Amino acid sequence: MTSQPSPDIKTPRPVPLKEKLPLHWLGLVPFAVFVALFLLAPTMYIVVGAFRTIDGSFTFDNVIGLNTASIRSAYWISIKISLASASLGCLVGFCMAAAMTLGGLPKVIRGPLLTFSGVASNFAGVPLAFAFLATLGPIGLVTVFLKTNLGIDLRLLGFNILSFWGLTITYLFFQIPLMILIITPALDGLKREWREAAEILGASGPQYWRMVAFPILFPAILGTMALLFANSFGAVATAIALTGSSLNIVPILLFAQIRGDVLGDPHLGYALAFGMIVVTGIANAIYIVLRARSERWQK
Amino acid sequence: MKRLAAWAALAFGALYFLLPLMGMTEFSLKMRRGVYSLDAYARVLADPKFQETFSYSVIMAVFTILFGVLLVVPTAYWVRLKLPRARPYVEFVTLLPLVIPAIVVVFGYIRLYNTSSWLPLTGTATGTNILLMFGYATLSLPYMYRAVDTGLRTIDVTTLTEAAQSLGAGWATILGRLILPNVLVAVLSGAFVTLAIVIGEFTMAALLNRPAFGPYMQLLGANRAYEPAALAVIAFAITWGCMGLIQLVARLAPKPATPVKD
Amino acid sequence: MTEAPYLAINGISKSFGAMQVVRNADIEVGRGEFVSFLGPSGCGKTTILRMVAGFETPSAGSISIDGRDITYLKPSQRNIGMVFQSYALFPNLTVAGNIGFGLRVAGAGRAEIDERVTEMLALIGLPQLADRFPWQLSGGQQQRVALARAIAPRPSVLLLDEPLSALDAKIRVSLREEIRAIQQDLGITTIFVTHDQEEALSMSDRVMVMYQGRIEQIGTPAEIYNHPSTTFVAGFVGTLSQLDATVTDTARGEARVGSATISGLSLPQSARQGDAIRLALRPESIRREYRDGDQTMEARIDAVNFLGAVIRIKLSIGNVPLSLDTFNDPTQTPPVTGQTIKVYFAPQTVLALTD
Repeated sequence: MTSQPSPDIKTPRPVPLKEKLPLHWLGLVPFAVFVALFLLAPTMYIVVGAFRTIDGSFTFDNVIGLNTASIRSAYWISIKISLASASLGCLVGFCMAAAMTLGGLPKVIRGPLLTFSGVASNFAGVPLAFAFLATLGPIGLVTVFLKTNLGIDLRLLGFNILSFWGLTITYLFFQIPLMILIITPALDGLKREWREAAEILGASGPQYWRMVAFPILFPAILGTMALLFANSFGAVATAIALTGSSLNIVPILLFAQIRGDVLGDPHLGYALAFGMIVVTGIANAIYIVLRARSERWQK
Repeated sequence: MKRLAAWAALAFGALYFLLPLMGMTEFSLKMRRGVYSLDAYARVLADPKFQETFSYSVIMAVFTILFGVLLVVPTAYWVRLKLPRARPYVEFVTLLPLVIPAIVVVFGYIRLYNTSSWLPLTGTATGTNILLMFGYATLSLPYMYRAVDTGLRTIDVTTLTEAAQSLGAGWATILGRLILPNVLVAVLSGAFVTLAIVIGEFTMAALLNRPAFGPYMQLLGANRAYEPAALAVIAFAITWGCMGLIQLVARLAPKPATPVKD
Repeated sequence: MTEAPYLAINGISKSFGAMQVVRNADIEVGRGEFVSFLGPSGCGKTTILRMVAGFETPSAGSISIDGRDITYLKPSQRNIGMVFQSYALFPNLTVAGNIGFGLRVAGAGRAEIDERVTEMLALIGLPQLADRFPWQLSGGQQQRVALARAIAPRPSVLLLDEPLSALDAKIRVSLREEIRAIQQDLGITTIFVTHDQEEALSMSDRVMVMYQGRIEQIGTPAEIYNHPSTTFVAGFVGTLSQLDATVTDTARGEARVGSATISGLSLPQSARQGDAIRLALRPESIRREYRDGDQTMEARIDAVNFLGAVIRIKLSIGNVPLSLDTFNDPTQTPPVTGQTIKVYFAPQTVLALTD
């Protein structure tokens, strides 16, 4: 007959290490609470709100309601500007980063260029708009210079800083440095031996780039372009400061809607915001996936 | 040939970046007709609204930095030490503010924490300030976390902690006397980025109706001609100053102890 | 009359700024010969290899292949194959793509490339990996693919830059044999750079030992090992026990080591009576069994190291440390530390070292 332990006696059991694990997770609580309250909850509230009517029932109407001419046009213009600033930023940024890492330039260039890129990529918003207005605006430095010294009248050529191209060129000021900052490590990761191996196998410079280097860099480049796209899509302050709410892009539309419900339906604002999250979310997902792929190759 | 192309690319880039800076500086000096002067700056600096909003933003930045350090340093340390499996998820979360546009987040704040909600932060000025600070902290989270995490990576956190514990140190001592001094450089670097972000931030402050520097700049830009350019120069100088300080401070960073190769 | 050298390196020197890395190196490699450049890190062996490849330009001297001066040609024009220490496989191409790269660059047709790639895959024994990517392969597999890639375009010379250093010991040994077999099979003139003397000795037709930018000795593995011409070579290749001695009789080749006298030594020409010289013995030259003509010495056993197939006994004669290697015999009891035993060696196997 087996002896049963008396229910009154509690013998201390040695606690195996694994059972202590739950306590470790407590250390993340402050962080989790903060993130939940001030990042995740607001976002989710918007996302859910995009699918609710005023009385709380589920509906697709808000999202469908986005399908008006002006909102469609706002999204389309936003996408176009983002594509333009992302592609140009990608191209110019790549050239500059390549010049710095592979161009055989003195090593002292690297530090200042990267520092400047760090500064410039943060120099967005209102001051940036002012800077470009002062340069390419109607009485801007370059505008006046071109007119008086070279006889080129930008206005006659159809250029207006308060327009699609004006915004794009302004956005490049922080897009190009962002590209430089992100693509430089990828360029550094191009092993010297790959170039040498290609050379000794008979490849010329262009052949090496076409068959080896660009394919290796392609995921990183494309991924960064996606990131630049998301960055541009979500930019509000620069656009407002430059165009004064006159250009019909999504962030400005949303801004006006939050301020004063110009669209006449609060839930439409949710839908607009939700649309923004979807676009930037997809772009960032593309970036993450492509970055993971490119890092796998750099092993 | 390659070198020529490289120099050309850099020259082209330099032109693109320098022209706007020159433009805004030149414009800011043209207030007095016909002569370069610092009138625009004088006007701006004397403007009571400038002083009010600038100090507001600086104070907000300080609070944001303090809160950020108190939140991020222990969290990053704890994750590195005890929860390495959670690291990818925590990192992903810290990158979310870069994905979700600030305007969406602040929209969520307005809806979620307004006067008829469970946490009526927007009801009072102080409440809104607190909300704005949390917003700023969220915006700077990616940079702060990345900076601190990088700083922790260069010091072997696990070994240091175990050594300290075997010598009898408690958590507060470890964090305060051992970890913090070693990541101070990284923390400072994150702090300067936060400062730059907060000073220039517009969207959140505008939509929450707080008297911050960003909305003030935008207002001035809509109404005045030369002062905005002066403001832009000031803002750029501050951002540049912050970055310069980061570089300076980064030079003082402790290098990881590597054994000498024989 | 020997055939004209296939690869000739004449008077090559290289300086980086004020630092001279290679000093006046000369070597002639015959067609199909396998030569190792052996030496410690920084001795200049890799620099010479890179000059042959074309990645560095010599500060002085010339390099020619099959009579053609290639000193200033671009690497892509030299028709040389190279295997790198870090494999350097192109991560965006499959194994087949990597191997066929040289031919594709040269403009060969699809069919020709495919045929050659299949041939190469069979040669290295990895036909099933044609469509894998480098990151999916082990180190040893990657290096074999790198070898196939280098050979596929039929180069006139094959260069290998410490190709086995990054691999595990077991794989190193098996791959070493495979590389040698392929090389002999195809008859490619090959230069193999390594700091591992076992590799150099086991694979090469000839070995070139380098130290601090200078060539110390060139010879067959047996020559280098048994008749090292400088102290460095003697010490670097194989293990060596060294004894300080004084010359007592140059005619009879006698020298005094401590209280014992050894005769029958092959002393260098320049030795004079009373000179201090350094004698050296390989561990396998010291024996516990006597043969005619041997010199006898008494020694105390300091330590016994069981190395597997070999037992290395650390002895002292007087207070001079020596090593004795003997094959492991499981039927015998191993010697014991502290024992005094008699050891024998043939005086002809004693090396007299010059610096």
